[in-house]
Amino acid sequence: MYTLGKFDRSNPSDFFRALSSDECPLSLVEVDRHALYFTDYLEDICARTIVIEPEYVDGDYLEDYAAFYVACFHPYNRFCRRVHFFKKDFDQNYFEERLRGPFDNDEYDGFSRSYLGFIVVRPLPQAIIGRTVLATYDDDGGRRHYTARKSYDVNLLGMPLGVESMAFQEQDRVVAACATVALWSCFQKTSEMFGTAAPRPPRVTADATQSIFAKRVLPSDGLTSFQICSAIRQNGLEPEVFVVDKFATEVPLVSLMYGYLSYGLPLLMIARLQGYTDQAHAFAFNGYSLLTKQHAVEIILPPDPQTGACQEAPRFTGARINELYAHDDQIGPFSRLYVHPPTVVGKTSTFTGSWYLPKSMDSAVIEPVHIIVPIYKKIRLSYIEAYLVVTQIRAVFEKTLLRNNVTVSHAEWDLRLTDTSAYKEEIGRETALPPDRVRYLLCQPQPRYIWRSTLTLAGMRVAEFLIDATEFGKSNPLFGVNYFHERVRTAFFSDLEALPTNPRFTPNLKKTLLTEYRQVWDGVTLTPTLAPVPPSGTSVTP
Amino acid sequence: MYQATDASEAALESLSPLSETDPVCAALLDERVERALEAVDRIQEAARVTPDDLRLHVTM
Repeated sequence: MYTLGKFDRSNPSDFFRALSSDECPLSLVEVDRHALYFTDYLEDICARTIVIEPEYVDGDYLEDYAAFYVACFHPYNRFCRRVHFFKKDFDQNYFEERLRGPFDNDEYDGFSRSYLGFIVVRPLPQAIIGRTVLATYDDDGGRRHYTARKSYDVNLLGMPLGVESMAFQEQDRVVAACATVALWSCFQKTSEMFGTAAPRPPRVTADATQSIFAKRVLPSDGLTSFQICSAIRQNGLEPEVFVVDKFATEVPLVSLMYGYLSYGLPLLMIARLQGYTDQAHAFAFNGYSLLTKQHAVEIILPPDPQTGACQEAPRFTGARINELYAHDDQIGPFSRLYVHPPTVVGKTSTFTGSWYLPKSMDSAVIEPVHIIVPIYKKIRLSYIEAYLVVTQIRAVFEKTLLRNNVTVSHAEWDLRLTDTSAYKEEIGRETALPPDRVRYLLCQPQPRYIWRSTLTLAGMRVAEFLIDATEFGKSNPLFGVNYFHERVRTAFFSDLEALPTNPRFTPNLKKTLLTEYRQVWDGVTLTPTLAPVPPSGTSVTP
Repeated sequence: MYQATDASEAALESLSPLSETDPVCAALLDERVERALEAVDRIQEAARVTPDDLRLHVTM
């Protein structure tokens, strides 16, 4: 059967009762950190009505049960409870009518659109939050981007419902610690993107610990970064690993994360938390907040060794990101991490969120150590390798700007992963390129995965560089250039042509840039109207 | 040498090819390009990951 309740943050008794069980009484639920997080979260997404399925067989919990709990002396229940949330305020009579007769179409539309997802409640003494699929916060006028979501189909007593989300669950520290759960969330999305598996937590832990392992696998007290990589490989993907300390002074961290997240790829961040010595925590990132103006400088460069003057770091899209969103299994889904820019040379951005210093109400600083992206094996060129190509082009482009007295800090580089289908779909709507160029881009075969780097100056798109993401670092991955501004194009070409031979500027890259120009762009007249800012929000307001 | 201005639409419309630039200024900027390209070596180094980097135990 089912039971029905109301959700009200000021009096969440129905919700807390729905989370409680014989194993975890109401008094514990009322002080449970996750229960309190969800109380705020559900209020923010406007939940009003709760429908509870009291005996629900959850596949994820059932595997946990089979892997561990069934062999305990204590008779743990194998049935969960599933708690659904609706925006619509309705009562028992309304729901009974829905069960006893077919829906009127319009009525059903309204009912299904008000669906906000569910929480599976595990029958355990703690770690009660099982598989949770909840709607995200709204986009706040286009600022918030929850990119690593997928569609989940839900059937509630025969009613087909759905929600866009990324599944979340709390670690039980038995079959899964934080790294396992973070991987499990990421695999939900990668399975949709690349057709790989979405293994359940016991399988993820087992995959991670297949190599030499010095201690018992279950109960699990965590994984090393190496084991996280192993689990990713076992799942048919490749781990793209970035060691934050190594690239902090050269590559913008938040822009790197944006480069993958904007394509919908979730990523893991392994971080140290201030005040929690010798421990590290895993976050599964799934979105970001992109402002229309600069939030922070991502890299602080040392003074110019020759002149002693301050050097201005290149500006990438990450400079406009003020928050990132992540599943933090000890906090809750889509938890907010505020971006704090570096303050000294050699350091990278840090974050604060819902973590506090031990025995204090002061926020704990979250210091990233590793970024690990579970990526399809054909995406061979990493963000840093694509960034390397952009760095070479940027060095020449800045000369073009400076000798024309244009401030380089007004140039913003957007570097993000995409694929040929998405790119061609966008190009098909492009009005700022000559029609022949659009036709060429649509008809010409392209690599399946592409790093797309767009340069904007003072909010105007002026050029775009297409980098083959299926290539490798030592290759010549640039395969296309689009110019949106005639003066910028000709001025940049003259600087490129005059560039003396330099071992650090790959000869093949220069050759491709010059050939593209001579064969495609020389003599082409661009419409005098400046290219509009792309819809993805890559504009910049200085 | 050069004086930065706002990157307005008008400023972009007045961009000129290299041949119209003072050669001394252009040479100084070439040195700047050279220094900017030095980052290439450092970025290549930043991308390297060793097994020792991955020993961190994620326990929380």
